[in-house]
Amino acid sequence: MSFFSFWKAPKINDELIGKDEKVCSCSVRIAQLLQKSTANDNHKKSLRQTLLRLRTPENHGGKDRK
Amino acid sequence: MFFKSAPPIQYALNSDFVAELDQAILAFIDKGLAYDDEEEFNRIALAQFELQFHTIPPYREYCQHKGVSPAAAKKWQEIPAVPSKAFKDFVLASFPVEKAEHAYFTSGTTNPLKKGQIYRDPAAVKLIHAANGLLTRKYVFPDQERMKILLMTPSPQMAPGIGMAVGLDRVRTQFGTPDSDYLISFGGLNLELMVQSLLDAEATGAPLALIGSTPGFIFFFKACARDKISFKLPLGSRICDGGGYMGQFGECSKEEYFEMCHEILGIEEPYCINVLGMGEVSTNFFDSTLADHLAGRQSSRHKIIPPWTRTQVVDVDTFTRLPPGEVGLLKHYDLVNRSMVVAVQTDNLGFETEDGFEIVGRWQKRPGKLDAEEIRGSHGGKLMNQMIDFLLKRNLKKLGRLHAKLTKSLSKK
Repeated sequence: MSFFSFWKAPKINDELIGKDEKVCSCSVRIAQLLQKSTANDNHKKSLRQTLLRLRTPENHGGKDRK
Repeated sequence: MFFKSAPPIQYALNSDFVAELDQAILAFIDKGLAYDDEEEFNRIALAQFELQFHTIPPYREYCQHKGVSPAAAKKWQEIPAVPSKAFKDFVLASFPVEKAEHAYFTSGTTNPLKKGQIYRDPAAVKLIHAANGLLTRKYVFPDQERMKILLMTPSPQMAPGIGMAVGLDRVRTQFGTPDSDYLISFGGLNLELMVQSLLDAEATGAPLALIGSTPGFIFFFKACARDKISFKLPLGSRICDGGGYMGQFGECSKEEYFEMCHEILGIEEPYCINVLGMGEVSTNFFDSTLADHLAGRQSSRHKIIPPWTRTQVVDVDTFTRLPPGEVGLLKHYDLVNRSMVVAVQTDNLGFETEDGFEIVGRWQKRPGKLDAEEIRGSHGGKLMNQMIDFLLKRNLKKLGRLHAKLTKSLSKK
């Protein structure tokens, strides 16, 4: 008896419904990219530092909540 | 597949059958969003079924097992819908995949080895551009020819396998001004570009569009909230998100997300448009909020069902159609899916509304139980998620009606 006599080809069936673990793979991978930046940079400081550096007297439209 | 034979010549990609089918689909889309023709939809859907039955062996076997064939099927409702999970286990393409222009590999969240495979040939790419272009114009940019767009995705050059990156590049070229740009690079989020663009918009008064991954926006909002930073974007600025309110960056309900759009960016809720997009279904499903708001229509948030698609909600056990308002699994029929399968059975939970449908969560088959973690991170709002948690232990069916009633009474207060 060959291996193929035991092997059954997989088939699409209704048992697959409710078994798709994927939520949104694009978002999962984008989140992974973002997490990388958080790990690599001193992210906790960088947002505020970026804002302070970019905000100038001519560009004061943004409100910085106290 | 171990053994693969060439598709019958009459259904080949360069056949008259496929060319006429594509022409009919494009003509249907080109008639616009106000046009609908049940008879023509039925005719095209059945022709697609014939094509896909003859060119996709695993689908043919599935249909045969269900006792449905193109010769026997007379209505689009009879076309067997492929479970979305099957895209991970089988190649479901109606053409030889080496001719694909789009090839995405959607990966599982817990098992990266199980990859979904999405293929589209060049003619099918034209169909998806036509369909989603029309929808993006109507539901995201009904009032602006072009505007500056910040994309919360990597560029397609950086991530050619991410469907969202490829799709949004089309949005950028079709609706964006030349200064539109991608916010995600190999180094992660380009904070400098993001903050500078937000400050520029505040200073110049030129509205800005932010489009992309929901978790990406949540990531940014949470960083802003932590550092007590907010912006006041000009009126007409908008945010369009897709991907679900998942838990990568902490819990966030739909309501909290809209609240943050307002608190952090100054964008009002009607200008927050959520999109349901899936690799397995070519057409995107947009919230109607902005179009309704600009047209002065009072309507609760729901997803639009474009005329070249049909969406049904089916029972999780029997897969029979449920009446409007009752929660079940979303099943989509999409004429733009010519290169794959026209009917897809998703694991998304939702309910039909008067003018469309709403997505509220995700079904995970675990003997009659819904996974609570999945639900918290899903599309459903805080109120909806709590109700699902509660009701699933009792009766799932009446949730949609209950939600409509509660939101109506809340809006009256």
